[in-house]
Amino acid sequence: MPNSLQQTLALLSKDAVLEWRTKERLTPTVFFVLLMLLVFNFAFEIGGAALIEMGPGVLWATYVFSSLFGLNQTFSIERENNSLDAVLLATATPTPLYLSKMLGNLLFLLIVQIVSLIFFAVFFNLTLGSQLLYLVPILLMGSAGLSAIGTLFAAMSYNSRLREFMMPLLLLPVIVPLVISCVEGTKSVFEQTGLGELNYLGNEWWPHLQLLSVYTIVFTTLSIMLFEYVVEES
Amino acid sequence: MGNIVLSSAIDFQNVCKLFGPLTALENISFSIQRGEFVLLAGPNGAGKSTLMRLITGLAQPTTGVVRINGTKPQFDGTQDTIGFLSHQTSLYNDFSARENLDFFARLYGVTKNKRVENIVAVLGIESFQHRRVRELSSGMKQRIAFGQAILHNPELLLLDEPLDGLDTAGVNTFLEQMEDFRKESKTVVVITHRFDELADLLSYVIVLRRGRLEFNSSWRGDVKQLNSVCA
Repeated sequence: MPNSLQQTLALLSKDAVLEWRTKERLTPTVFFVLLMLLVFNFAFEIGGAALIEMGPGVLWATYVFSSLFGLNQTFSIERENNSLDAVLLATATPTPLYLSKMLGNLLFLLIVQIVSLIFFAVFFNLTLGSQLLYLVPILLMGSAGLSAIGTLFAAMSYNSRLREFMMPLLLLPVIVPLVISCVEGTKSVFEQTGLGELNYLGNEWWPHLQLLSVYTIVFTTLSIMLFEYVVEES
Repeated sequence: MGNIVLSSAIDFQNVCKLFGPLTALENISFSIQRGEFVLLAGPNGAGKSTLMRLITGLAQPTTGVVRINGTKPQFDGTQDTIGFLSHQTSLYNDFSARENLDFFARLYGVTKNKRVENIVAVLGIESFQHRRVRELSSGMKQRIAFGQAILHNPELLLLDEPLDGLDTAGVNTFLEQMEDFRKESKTVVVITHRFDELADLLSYVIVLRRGRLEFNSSWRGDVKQLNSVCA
């Protein structure tokens, strides 16, 4: 019997290969990001001080709503021929399945993040220099938290006929603290744009990153513990 | 008596399974020894697939106890001795037949490529092993799914409608494999409505009707008797 790490890697590489072949999650999500930012670009005139005030909210709203597309599809390939049962029997414990799906979602969300940030920078004339270094941990921890809880809720809505509605209804209230921290953390980074050098952001930035880290650790642990009960009858 | 219960391959004691207000299984008790070849029969909606999921540990009984080889089937490593072919194929449509088998071999820790190659050859998958599952007929998919279920050489094999979609050659290959399983004293539980093709292999018959156990006994009868029991 292989260990959990080997099984997690086998499941993760399977998901990556199938996504590469079909691109059924990434392509619509990238189009959605582009469309949302286009709408925001025409709806608001975001520049100068408004970029700092509204920009982080626009960026994270785009990111969170487009991520819902992908998170909803977390178990879509298992649903086609009900391969979930075979995978659970083969791994003997559900943890490798959860970890592989969580890591897969994290990779997916990071790609969406990068795409969102590039489009955002182009549409709203954002120039990020060395400040980007401070933005990376916020993006990483935000994606990890979203992925941890999103994977659990995707499993909960696996057999639901209303899964497209269930996912946002379950997820959005729970991620409010995460999104607020991400927006505030991003805002503290945006305030430094155009200054031309990397300034120390400790007081404004660090508490948000701490909150994000605690959120991600707590929800990842909870999700691993609860995943067994969620998939048992799904 | 206690020793007998512990040595059973499958042991159900007063098992009930409810789905909300619906009673899927009601007070089911039976015991199957290792090496038995079991037919699980009954009309549609009788609770056969639910009973099979309880054996795998993928579902838990509402009340009562299920034991596999003396232990409760849960996510604790007992399942790697179980091979399960569900009524859906459990295959990934955008993987080829071979990729599906290789993937499950990695999950089971079947590192020797020889085992997968052997299954591909024995089950007649060679000619379409590199084609994507999405492009294959239901009979071809059924062969791959059966291969996936026996990949790790399980002690207990659970098959839900294994003959669905198989042509004559496919049925013959399947029966040969079943004969091998019987010779190796492995326990096999089969749900099928085509029981006449398995009649010679059967050693135990369970018939469910509306979630209740209607017939539960060792079996040495012929097809005609089987038809009357399962009717």
